[in-house]
Amino acid sequence: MSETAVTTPVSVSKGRSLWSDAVKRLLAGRAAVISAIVILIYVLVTLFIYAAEFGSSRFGWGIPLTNYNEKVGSEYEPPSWKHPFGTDYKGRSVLRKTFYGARTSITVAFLASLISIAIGVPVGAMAGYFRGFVDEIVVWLYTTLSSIPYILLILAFALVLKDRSISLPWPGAPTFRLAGIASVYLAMGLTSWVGLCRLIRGETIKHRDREYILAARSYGCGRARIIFKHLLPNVFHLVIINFSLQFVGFIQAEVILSFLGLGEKDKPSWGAMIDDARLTLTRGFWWEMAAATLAIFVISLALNVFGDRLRDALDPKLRTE
Amino acid sequence: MTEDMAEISENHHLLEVEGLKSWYPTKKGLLRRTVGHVRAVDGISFSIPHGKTLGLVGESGCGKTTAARTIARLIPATEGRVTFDGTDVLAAEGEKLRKLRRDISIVFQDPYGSLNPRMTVGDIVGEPMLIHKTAGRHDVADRVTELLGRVGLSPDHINRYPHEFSGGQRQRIGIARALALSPRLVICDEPVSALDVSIQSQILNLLCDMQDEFGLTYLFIAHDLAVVEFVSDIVAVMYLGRIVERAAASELYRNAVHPYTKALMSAVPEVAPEKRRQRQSLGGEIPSPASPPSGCAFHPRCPLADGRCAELAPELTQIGTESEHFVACWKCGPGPEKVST
Amino acid sequence: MTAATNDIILSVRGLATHFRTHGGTVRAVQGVSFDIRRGRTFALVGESGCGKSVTALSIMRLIPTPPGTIAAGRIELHGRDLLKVNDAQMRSVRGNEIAMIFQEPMTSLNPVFTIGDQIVEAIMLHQKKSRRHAWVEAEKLLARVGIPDPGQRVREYPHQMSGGMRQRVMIAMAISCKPSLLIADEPTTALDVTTQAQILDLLDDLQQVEGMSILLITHDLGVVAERADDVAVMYASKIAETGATEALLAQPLHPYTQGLLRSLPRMGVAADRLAVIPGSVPDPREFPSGCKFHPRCPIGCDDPRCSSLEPELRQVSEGRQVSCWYSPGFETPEESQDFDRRYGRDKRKSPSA
Repeated sequence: MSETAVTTPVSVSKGRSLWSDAVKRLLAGRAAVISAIVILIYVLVTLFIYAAEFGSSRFGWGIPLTNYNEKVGSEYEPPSWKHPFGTDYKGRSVLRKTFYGARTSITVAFLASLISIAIGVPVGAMAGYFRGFVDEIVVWLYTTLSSIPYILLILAFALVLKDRSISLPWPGAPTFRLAGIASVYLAMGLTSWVGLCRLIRGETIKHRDREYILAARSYGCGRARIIFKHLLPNVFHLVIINFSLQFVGFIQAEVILSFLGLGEKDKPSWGAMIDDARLTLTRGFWWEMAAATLAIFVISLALNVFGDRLRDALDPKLRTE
Repeated sequence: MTEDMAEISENHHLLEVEGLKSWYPTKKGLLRRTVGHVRAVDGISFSIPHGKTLGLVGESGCGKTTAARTIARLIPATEGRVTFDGTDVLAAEGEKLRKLRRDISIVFQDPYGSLNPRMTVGDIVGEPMLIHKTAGRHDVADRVTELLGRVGLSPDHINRYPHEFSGGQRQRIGIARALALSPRLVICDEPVSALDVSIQSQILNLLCDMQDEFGLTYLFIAHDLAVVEFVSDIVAVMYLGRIVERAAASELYRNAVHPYTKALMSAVPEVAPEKRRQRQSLGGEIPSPASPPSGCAFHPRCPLADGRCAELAPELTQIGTESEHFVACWKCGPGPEKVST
Repeated sequence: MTAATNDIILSVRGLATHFRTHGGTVRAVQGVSFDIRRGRTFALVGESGCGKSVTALSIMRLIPTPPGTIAAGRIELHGRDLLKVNDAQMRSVRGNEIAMIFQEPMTSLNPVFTIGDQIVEAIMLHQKKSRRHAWVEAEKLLARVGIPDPGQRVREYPHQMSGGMRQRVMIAMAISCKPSLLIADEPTTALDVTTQAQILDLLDDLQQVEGMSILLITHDLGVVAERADDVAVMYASKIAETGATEALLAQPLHPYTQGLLRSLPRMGVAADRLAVIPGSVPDPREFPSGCKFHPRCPIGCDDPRCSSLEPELRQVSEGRQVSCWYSPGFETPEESQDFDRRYGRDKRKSPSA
């Protein structure tokens, strides 16, 4: 028998990466699958609305669902078979407004997440890998930032960015006017990268002294390559977990911001709906508030459940053994 | 594996280490002032001839892993000189350093931690080649397959991930990676300590085969004396950052002189009753490298120690005239009769 | 090692421990049987995944019960079956009649309490002593295990001590109630070889003085050779062979033990190559059929019986048990005839030397 004969690896399938393991584990649970479906529904609604808007502006399609401004009944009609969520003070369908609100919330939360990842991850990785002076600056920065009350910070950013124009640094470049909604997600993204940065930094510090990083350095792997090719894939699971849990925070922050009068004025959003409904609640018109609250609750619940299951699927087993 | 020392000393030495020190400052207080140093490596010297193996053996805190990583330019040295084939290792930069990265490679201890869990075996073994452009993107797979075959793995393992393999197989992958750039010096940092006993012999045989096949020079770090003796031509025993004894492997195991070496050997549990040595129990514990004893680091635990030992640290001096047997001890320095164990 | 009476204090019969995982049931321990005599050291030796630690934890009933269950067996301590007692009774056994020390002293000791606190807690759990008495006792125990300056040490925290020192503290806690059996699960694997010698000397000394039995779990055959009176070699959840240490190591009957001994590098023995056991330890989720060692066995790898029929543990001579078809004295004449009938005489292998 050959001395060097080795028994086959435990797994029979070819190239079973840790990600595919995690996905399999995740989808084995009912709760994870249901919440994933709910999230998917919200995302599909958002995409549908974008498509419908694009269609109606380019091809003149008239899809009733996106026509939130249409007067479908008299003012303040209570929920009925014709109007499942009743009508608002202008006689518009609350159901349509709720769907539209989803588009606003999901868009804002998604863009804010992207910004926060784009800032938090590289900064955290560099702080964690280089340590020393770079680390001290970054830590000082995010400690200061996170000590300022979150709401005030977002408000400040949103107010400053509102109605601004950004021009790119080179001459002759186009100028972008910030839509109301942009000030919201920019503000959120620019203030909430801190949590993710901390996580990534901590995990990077843990990994940088692992032997596989030492091995990479020993055969001459450059620093950038080590950070992006070796370290980041091993800390990325944190980004994913953080994404799903922070998403809830962004949705709820958007609600608060619209409540406070920032964000998109002309398009419906859940926060604006709640704000409007706040005053009429005393007159007994509960359905607009209920619709918005229910919509927020369902997506928050789904994201929380999914985020938890995600953490279980990714975190402990994602180690090498 | 064992050869006559006289022949070895005539060969040109591939790696030469002189007075290597790695000290880490300990800082205290609000102003972070340096109050002392952790003397992880406190002045070691040795050299390895072409194609031979030097075993560095010692217990925890002796600095062997730190020494290995310093030589490999993974952590900075405080003092000393390391010469690889004429090149100054510690001062190399740029292109010279790049070349050293190809010529010197490491096999690590932990088969689970030394492979990136997110990369396939092919990526792990192939990346060094891509970085140094010793293989293009199209032929790297062939080169990797060839290497995997040499270390006893099959070609269809190339797309699998480390967690799909056993400890011994992962160590083979690590060895394949270490050989990817056709190095001349391979530093083996406790390569079998984390493996099951029945796998250790497979990996040790593999390392010896690779050495013969590729004409490699090894710096072999371990704490297991039997493993070190099997693999090494020369053995150096470290204690608290210093080398206390250095000799050809067979010579050391027959005629150890330093009290620490003798105590170490006697403490190793032996299966065969006739091979067991008289236990020389060592009282006390290994001191911390942050506050090493004065003079000879071993003197607080040494049965032979006297006043001079507490004051002055002995240098490595040659015993006898023929054998290349060096000891750092005032009480058993040059001149004494060979003490048989 | 001591000269001993033949009193059996712990008797394990047919122990089986299973774990339910998402990949199926893992049979970590199957059909394990052995006896531990008073005042003697019994070693359970094997490689990772062989089930030796699970066996020890099963004896202490410390197996986490949602995924794990003790599926079968009898564990008799002084004649009482531990698998049948209730939780409260088991708690009074743990630490009192059977004590256990583990491999990693750092994680076995609570980092936020002083050494003294932890020893005192162990004492007061099982003995009716006042706190003051317990502290005095704790200092005495520290001195007993060879810790210098116990009065000072008793107030220290685990992180202030070295690995060897912490292991001594563990031993002090373990012997505080004078147990009849001490289970030591790889007690020196994480320690340096000189410290290992000290700790093992300490255990020997305690055994001599207190008459305590020791169940020593280890992977190091050298430790077994020097310290154990009796030994059982485990492979892949089963016992391969058992017997008195000297006899077993001088004349191993199971091919696995033989292979292990041959593949060890030895000090003072020059060698060009080491003998090898090919392949690797099987994953507990995918044990081979028949004899679990057969894929790696020089005799059994292409033997039709070894690959289909699992040999049980049988006594082949005084004090020696083995589970291998080709061990001298193992197969009965009927089995021999049966084999020849089924597979033909030519398929029969000869036992190894």
